[in-house]
Amino acid sequence: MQLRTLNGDIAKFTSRGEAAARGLSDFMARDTSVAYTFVAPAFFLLLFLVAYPFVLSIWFSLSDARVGETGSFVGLDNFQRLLRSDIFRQTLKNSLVFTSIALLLKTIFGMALALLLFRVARFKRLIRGAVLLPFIVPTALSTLVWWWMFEPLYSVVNWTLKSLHVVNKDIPWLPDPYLAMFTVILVNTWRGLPFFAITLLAGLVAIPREMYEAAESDGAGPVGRFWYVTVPLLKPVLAVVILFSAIFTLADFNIVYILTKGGPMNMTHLFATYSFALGLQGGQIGQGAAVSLFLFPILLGVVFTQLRLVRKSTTYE
Amino acid sequence: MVNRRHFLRVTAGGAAGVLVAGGAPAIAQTRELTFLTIASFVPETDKELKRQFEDWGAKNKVKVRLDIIAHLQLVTKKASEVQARSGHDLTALGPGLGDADLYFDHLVDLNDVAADIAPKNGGWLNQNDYLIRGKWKLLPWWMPPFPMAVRTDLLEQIGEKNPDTWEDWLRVGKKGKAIGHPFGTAMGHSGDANVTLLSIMWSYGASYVAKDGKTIAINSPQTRQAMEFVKRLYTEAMDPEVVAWDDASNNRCLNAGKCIAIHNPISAYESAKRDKVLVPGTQKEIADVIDHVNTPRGPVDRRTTTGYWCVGIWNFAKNVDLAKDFLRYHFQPDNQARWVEAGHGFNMPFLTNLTKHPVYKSDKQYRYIPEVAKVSVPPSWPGPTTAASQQVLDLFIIPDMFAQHATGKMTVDQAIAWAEKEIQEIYAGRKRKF
Amino acid sequence: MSRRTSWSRGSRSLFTLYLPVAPFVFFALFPLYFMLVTSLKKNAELYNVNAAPFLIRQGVTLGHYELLSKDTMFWSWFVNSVLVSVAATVISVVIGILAAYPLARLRFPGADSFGVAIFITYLVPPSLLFLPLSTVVNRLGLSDTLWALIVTYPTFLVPFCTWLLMGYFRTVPKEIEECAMLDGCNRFQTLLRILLPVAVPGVICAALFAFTLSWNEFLYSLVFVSPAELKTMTVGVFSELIRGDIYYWGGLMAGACIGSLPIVIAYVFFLDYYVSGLTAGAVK
Repeated sequence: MQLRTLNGDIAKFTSRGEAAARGLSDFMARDTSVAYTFVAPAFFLLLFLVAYPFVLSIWFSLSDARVGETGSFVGLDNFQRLLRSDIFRQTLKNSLVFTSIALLLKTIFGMALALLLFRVARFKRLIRGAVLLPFIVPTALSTLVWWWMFEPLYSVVNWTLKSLHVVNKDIPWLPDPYLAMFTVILVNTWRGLPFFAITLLAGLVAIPREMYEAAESDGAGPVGRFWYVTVPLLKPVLAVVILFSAIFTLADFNIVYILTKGGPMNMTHLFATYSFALGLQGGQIGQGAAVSLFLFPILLGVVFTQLRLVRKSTTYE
Repeated sequence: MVNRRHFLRVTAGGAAGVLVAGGAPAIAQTRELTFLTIASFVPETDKELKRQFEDWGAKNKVKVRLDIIAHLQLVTKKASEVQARSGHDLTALGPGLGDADLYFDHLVDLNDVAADIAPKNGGWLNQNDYLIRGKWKLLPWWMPPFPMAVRTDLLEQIGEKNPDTWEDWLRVGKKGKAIGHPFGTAMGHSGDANVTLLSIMWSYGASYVAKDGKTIAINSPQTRQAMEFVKRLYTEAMDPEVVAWDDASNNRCLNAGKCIAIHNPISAYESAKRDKVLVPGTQKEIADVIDHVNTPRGPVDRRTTTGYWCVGIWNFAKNVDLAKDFLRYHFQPDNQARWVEAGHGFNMPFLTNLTKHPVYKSDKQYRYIPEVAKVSVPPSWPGPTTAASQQVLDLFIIPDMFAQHATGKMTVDQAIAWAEKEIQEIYAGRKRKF
Repeated sequence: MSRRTSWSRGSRSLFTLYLPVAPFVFFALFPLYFMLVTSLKKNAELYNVNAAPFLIRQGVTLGHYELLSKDTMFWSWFVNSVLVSVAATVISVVIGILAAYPLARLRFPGADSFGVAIFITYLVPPSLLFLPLSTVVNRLGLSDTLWALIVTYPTFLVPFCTWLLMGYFRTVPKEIEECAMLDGCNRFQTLLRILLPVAVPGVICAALFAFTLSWNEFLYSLVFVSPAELKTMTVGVFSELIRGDIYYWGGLMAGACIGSLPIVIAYVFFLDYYVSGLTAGAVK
């Protein structure tokens, strides 16, 4: 198909790109009308289908809105009320633990997996396909499998551990607050790892081989090549992947909702599940929105700084 | 946000232009009625409902559409339909009567329908419970009563007979646990946990809100007593896993041959019978050794609750009169009877005559169901159902209070103080509106 | 890679490569294997606590699949999922490419703010966004049609596609583009002929990502589409096979298996193309 013929082009351009000088030309600097035309579809889509609901969400969090009613402005009342709630403080703690650990695991293992996959030659297709699977299978259903695997009575994990005499009693995966947190993190990692691995792999493949050869001729070992070639060149991809994943992980709903419903004793409630309980079940959208948007200012800051870093690192040449 | 509607119109109009989607054309004069319901716990119930709906549609020349979703998703669906002020005409509501308060301004008054239905069916069971702020905002539709399901063979094995009080069940559970067959009741974030733990509270004379619906009554000696009892039940008669149980866990525990008894609707038994589940290590069908007895009584009372599933009509429905008409049709005695029949007695209407339906005599398993229904009250009992009382359940305050004490995370006083504060916050946060 | 892989090299790669990969593969596959096994087990064995959970000893049954095919509208749901996912993916990738190009390449007023704004849309959790969005969908007259999904899915797909492609476009040396423009290509032609071919990995990645997210989407599909015959697969399976406190485990897992299989095949096929394309490019 078309891809085949394109391959040649890629080769040509990447090699020519290497050779070419890196100077910037003002030649393409200003092209405003073209730019606006190209951006327009995305702009209108986001304006109508995201911006409006988004503004409304912020309004919700500052009002005593309830489902179907706009409510009136109450300032930061919702947020203050949340801070007084033990359950919310617990939720805040849970969310931070959940996100940071899951993200750390996904980054480390995703990178490791990408590096391994990069070198795999035999059964390449099979292995790459296999590790990608968790990401493909519909989440709503795959989370059910995990629940089925950890469900106290039929847990295949406990059955196996007991059969191998690793333990002689059931491990309370979901009843114990800390193990429950461990379990939801595990499932999140399972699901998110392929996204990291495959995207990073794509980044790795895009790194020109000459860079490694050059580093090697400068006497860099495998570790050196990793730190001085791979990491800097992967940075933009890595930054975006981490940022995306952080946002999605922080907003995770399904895993907790299916595995623990926020229990035991609210020890696994995340923003999304608690917001669901308050805003949808309880109809207090104002409060629900406040939960969801609680970290918004902080996240906004993170996004800005990280995006600036990304931009810097990509315009380095 | 005075401008919301205006803003909305502008944006939506603009978007329509961009997407060339156009507005929704006012569909010509074909009359249509839509009904959103939850997948019934017994599939035949849905089929019977569909049959009635289609029959009615054919008779009245109305195009009908019955949409079914999982009960877990009803919350989301309700909220989005109200927000968009568009969706189905008829909708299932619940669990609990809380939606009547929560969506008070979005539901059609059903006073006339309720009044029409009552006399034909021997009256409503506890009419005053269903009136929210003095109005019929929804019709209570069906409930699955919570008897106690017990393994008779195991009971015999431990030498127990006719356990009836909560203390009896503690003893049974203790003996059962000693031979690997503990008692089982959810104490986590699940509807069953709310039901059973509230039942225990009431049985000991406690409740979370007083009759006035305002005074938070949870901090009482009776609650302490109930909590001490549950702690013993948890440590002596159950496995720690119950704090992670969901609504399906106790069914599985019974059907897997592990639990000696569970406080649950007859769904576990029904699925055991259907799947011909065997007692592990034998060729005996487990359904043959299950019996259902009355919900337990405590030192003060015998009282329980359950999921009150309801039906209502949105006030943004396109066809309020047709919807009311179908409700009248569905609540006719013969249609109700067939519908109850199809549900094998799982779905019990809140109508006096139907608690005497022959289905409850068809299987000796069902003999206590009408008894249980009689002592079933809304979860907010003795207070009225409000959005606040419903939220106490949605946030699982009661199970968490019990679990935090039973697992030793908190003392009795700490746990009660925690729950009292949470409940007060919930009630206070709701007060402004009403 | 040459063919003269010696034994020692082979065994070294076994230890340094295939052995470390094995746990990853196991971790990824076990739950899915378990899903498959569960879907093929008879209920009696499935609910027997003493039976080995990951083996089938009492015979394989296709009963759960039959239930799915006969008693539910599974295949309609499946087709709906395919239609919606493909349409949403194509739309999103095209919009993404168009938006990414100027954002990566051109300087124009508002470029930076728009780039950031795109990202910020992700900060609003969909669990909140769907409520106001349902009003919009209703106003557009799209409720209860598949269009509701085809139009709304791009809201969470376009930002990612755009960002991913921006990254890829930036890696292409500007000189090539300049040459093309000197040869008389306009912006659109440059994008089509020069940048896009180089960004193929990015485009495929974006498309795969978009497709996966659409395929897995649950919330919007649940909220915007009610009629049984228009449901997407996951929502449909959930509605029919979770009945209160009874889960039809076999059927749910069967749904998950069939629901995954075609995309898995597509992925494996696609991945091969994708990887061979990349490799050819890298090896020269």
